Amino acid sequence: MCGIVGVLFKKRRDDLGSVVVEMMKNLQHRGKDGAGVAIYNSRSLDEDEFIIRLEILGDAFERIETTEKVEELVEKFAKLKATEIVREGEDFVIKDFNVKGIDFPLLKKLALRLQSMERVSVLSAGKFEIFKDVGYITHVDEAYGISKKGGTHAIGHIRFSTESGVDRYHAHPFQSFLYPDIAVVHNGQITNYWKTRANLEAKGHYFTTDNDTECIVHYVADKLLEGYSLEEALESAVNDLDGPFAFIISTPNEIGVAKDKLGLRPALVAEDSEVFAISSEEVALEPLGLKTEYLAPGEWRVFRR
Amino acid sequence: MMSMEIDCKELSVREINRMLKEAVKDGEKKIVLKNPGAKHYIGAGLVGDVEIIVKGSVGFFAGTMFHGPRMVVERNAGWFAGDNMTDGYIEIKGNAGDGVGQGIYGGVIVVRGDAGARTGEIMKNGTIIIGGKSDFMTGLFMMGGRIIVLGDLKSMAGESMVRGVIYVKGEVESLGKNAKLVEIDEKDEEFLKEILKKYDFPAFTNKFRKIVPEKKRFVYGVAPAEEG
Repeated sequence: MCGIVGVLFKKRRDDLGSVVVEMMKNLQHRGKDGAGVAIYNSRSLDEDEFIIRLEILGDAFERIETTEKVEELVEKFAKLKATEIVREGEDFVIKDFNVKGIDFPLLKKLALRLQSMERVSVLSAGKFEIFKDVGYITHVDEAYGISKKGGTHAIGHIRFSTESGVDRYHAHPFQSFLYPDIAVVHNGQITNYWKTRANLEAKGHYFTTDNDTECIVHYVADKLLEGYSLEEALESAVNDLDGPFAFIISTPNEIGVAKDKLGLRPALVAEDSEVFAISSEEVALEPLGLKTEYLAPGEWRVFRR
Repeated sequence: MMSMEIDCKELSVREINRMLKEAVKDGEKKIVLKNPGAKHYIGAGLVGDVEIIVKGSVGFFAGTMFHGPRMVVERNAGWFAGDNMTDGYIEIKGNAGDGVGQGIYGGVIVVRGDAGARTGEIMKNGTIIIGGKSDFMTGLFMMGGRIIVLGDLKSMAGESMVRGVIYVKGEVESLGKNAKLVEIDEKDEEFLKEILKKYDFPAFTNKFRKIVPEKKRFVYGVAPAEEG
């Protein structure tokens, strides 16, 4: 079933994290398999500075060993400014690597090299932050402190898994390294997944999971790379992707929502001069006190800062 | 007449519905729900002669399986308002999501604003009135009853309907399989005049047309002789 939310403020808000978490709490009934948020402009970074967030699996010794290898690789590409443990458990650590002196094409190469390392998964790489894990949004928020984050816009996901694994790595949002800081949250299924994936892979795009949502973000990123606007990319997605879906795409300065042609998944939007919000259900938009509007089958919307 | 008030803000859906059920059992005739917060399943399975005023929006499946109650929602409704109701009245003053009145056996549903896709899907009887437009596949697999749309009908209206009628005042974007658009007759006019007046909609004009099934058993080809 899944629940999706998106919120974009015209001006940066210190309480963005708590706004999106509250919206997501109201959608908790739509799934209990995981929750995740992508949040933009939560940190102030220099132009050549990025955050790579990794999940490193293994016992304490293996984690130290792998971390050393990661640092070694990172330093071949960029200056390692700082590292920070975001969360640690018995058999995993989630760690941020703050890198400097690098551009996005090189960051993409580095991220893909890291992804291919044993026991390492890239949860996000860019100027934005992705927090995602199994469990309820309250648990994920407690573990990662999402509600303490400020920022300009964010998308969130409450997961009811259908086709792929229930773990941190398969939780939404998904990122594409094709385009800087692009992420997706999705409710539904992409039934022409394999065909869409084959077309994208034929172009040399790299998939990191077997989750159908991942192909949406690569599809849209590919269109943006070809020079499409987000509006054009969403229109094209509605025509090319099959199955029931409602998804939200976020980029560094916009969020867009699209709904399948049969209208089989719900999506509402609400806006005023300060804020634009999207949700699967009105219940998540109630706290904002805005007039809501259902998206029609096959409709898409884009909002920019 | 005094009315009972329930503040839904801190209550779960189960608690709200239990309170409604108890109140009806105790003979309450009018109940006001405050702060409904677009919660789902409001009034699910409620049976009895009671009026419910909802001071806000309701979520999915509002008034599902109603038998008798009259519920007025002052803002919007989510998907599947009035799903499977057998008798009663639901009025939504704002807009409604998809599947308004899906599978209803009876009763009346009034949406003052727009309705989403698949309004009246597989409905068997009863009446649905939409004040604005009704989206994609209105009357999908319709088996009986009446849908009245005062605005436009979006694409594939009446898709695979086998019985029932959809009256439409606005434009029809396209018809679904087995649906045909025809002129209304005197009986239809009489029915529309009366029902529009009763539910406080603008008076009848001769812009109305109706969508009816082309064949009653179109999937299997030949209709049995006794069909009516």
